[in-house]
Amino acid sequence: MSRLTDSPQYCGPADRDRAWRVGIGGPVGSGKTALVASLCERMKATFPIGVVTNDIFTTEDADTLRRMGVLDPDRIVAVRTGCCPHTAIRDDIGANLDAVEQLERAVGPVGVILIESGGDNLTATFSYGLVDRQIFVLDVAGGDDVARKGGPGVTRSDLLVVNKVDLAPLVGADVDRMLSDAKAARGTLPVIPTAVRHGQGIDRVIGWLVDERRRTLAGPGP
Amino acid sequence: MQPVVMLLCDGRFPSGSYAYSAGMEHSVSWGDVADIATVREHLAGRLSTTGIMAAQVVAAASKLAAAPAPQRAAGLDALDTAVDARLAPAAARDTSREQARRWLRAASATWPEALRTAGDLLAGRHFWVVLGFATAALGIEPQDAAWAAIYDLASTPLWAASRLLGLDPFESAHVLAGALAHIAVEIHAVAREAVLAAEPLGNGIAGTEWISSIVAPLSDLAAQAHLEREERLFAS
Ligand SMILES: Nc1nc2c(ncn2[C@@H]2O[C@H](COP(=O)(O)OP(=O)(O)O)[C@@H](O)[C@H]2O)c(=O)[nH]1
Ligand SMILES: [Mg+2]
Repeated sequence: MSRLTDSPQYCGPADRDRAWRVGIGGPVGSGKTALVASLCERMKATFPIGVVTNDIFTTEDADTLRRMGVLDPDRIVAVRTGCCPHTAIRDDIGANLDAVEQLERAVGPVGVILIESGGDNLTATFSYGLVDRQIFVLDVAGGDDVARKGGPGVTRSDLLVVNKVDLAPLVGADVDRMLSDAKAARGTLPVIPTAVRHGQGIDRVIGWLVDERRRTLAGPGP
Repeated sequence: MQPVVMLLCDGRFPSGSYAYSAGMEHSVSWGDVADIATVREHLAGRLSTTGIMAAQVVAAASKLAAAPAPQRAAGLDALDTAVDARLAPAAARDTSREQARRWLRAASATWPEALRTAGDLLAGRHFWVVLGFATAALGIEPQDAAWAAIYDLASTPLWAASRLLGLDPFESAHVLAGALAHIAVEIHAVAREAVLAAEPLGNGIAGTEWISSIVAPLSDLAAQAHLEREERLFAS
């Protein structure tokens, strides 16, 4: 804990005067909001956090997070995406950049901003003009062949989370097969199985986030 | 025509336009717009009212870009106030400024050199004021700039309606082309006149009463009602 970048309050060198941003994508219902809530609860004591949601129709996700009381309400901002949630996070990111800036103006320096996508299909990924890293969330109940089917979220996201492993026996899903399909599709990129509802696997996700944040903020290094 | 105009009017230019419906989502929920025939009427109404005003403001802002610096700022203030007065509901004014900010973010990143000085002068202003002034810095003629605004004004609600009502996209494109062709002569004329009418503004003489104040109040009210709704797909 001697390096400046190890400090929880550290928000980047002078040439990086903005929060570190992480996109959380994946199909509807896979557990993105549940993951965001869980990350906020566990990380907010050490990292000043903000959340941007991209609901399709309502501000449901933002309202849910506010209701759960995982963060101060003014740390949660919702973006409207005009039927095109994938456009808002990939092709035309201005509304999300506005939201991020609004949040930082309202609450001061933020260590991490989590940006949840409106649930979309397997091809919806974030632009790196918007996020520094992206997590793609699948769930075992959505079909254990999804990891094999691939798509950019599965193959190229910085972290793949396979959620709801607690449901595998109930839906007849083969978690081991999902994990090995995912690993085959992703090479060295990490995969973490979770049961967010039961707090399982969250520590590994946080460990990954903290490592990646330190790595980005430290720069390419020697 | 210059190639930059094509970039500006491309729906994939990342200026945030996909998220707006310009009141169309609410007009659909009110039942005022329900099929391709009512979409056609809606477009004709918007273009012949708000469209004229938009073309005048854009062309005037474009003309102002050639004025000396002190007159430029004062002229932009006058045009901005004129737009404020013509967009009655707060929601319509807020949306216009939000759209301007998003457009300027995209344009400034696309043409950083050309728009370096314009950026500060345009912060917080209305969309048509920003569009006219900034496109002049890109070498676009006032009339072409006015057309960029008209195209946006027509295509934004049209494609929103197309998505919301599940219209035949070919029919939608046909209606858009017809609406633009119908208004073409008038838009050319008002844009040309606006360039002349804006000359005193560039010489530091206020006066924007020549800008049409015939707008489309029902669309603007729809914009206000839209923002008060719980469930909505579009930002406007
Ligand atoms: N059994 C189980 N349910 C979960 C888990 N994670 C999320 N859920 C539930 O799945 C549903 C959808 O989750 P949500 O986070 O809203 O999904 P989102 O659409 O991806 O944001 C909710 O009812 C959650 O409580 C999990 O690990 N196990
Ligand atoms: Mg969600």
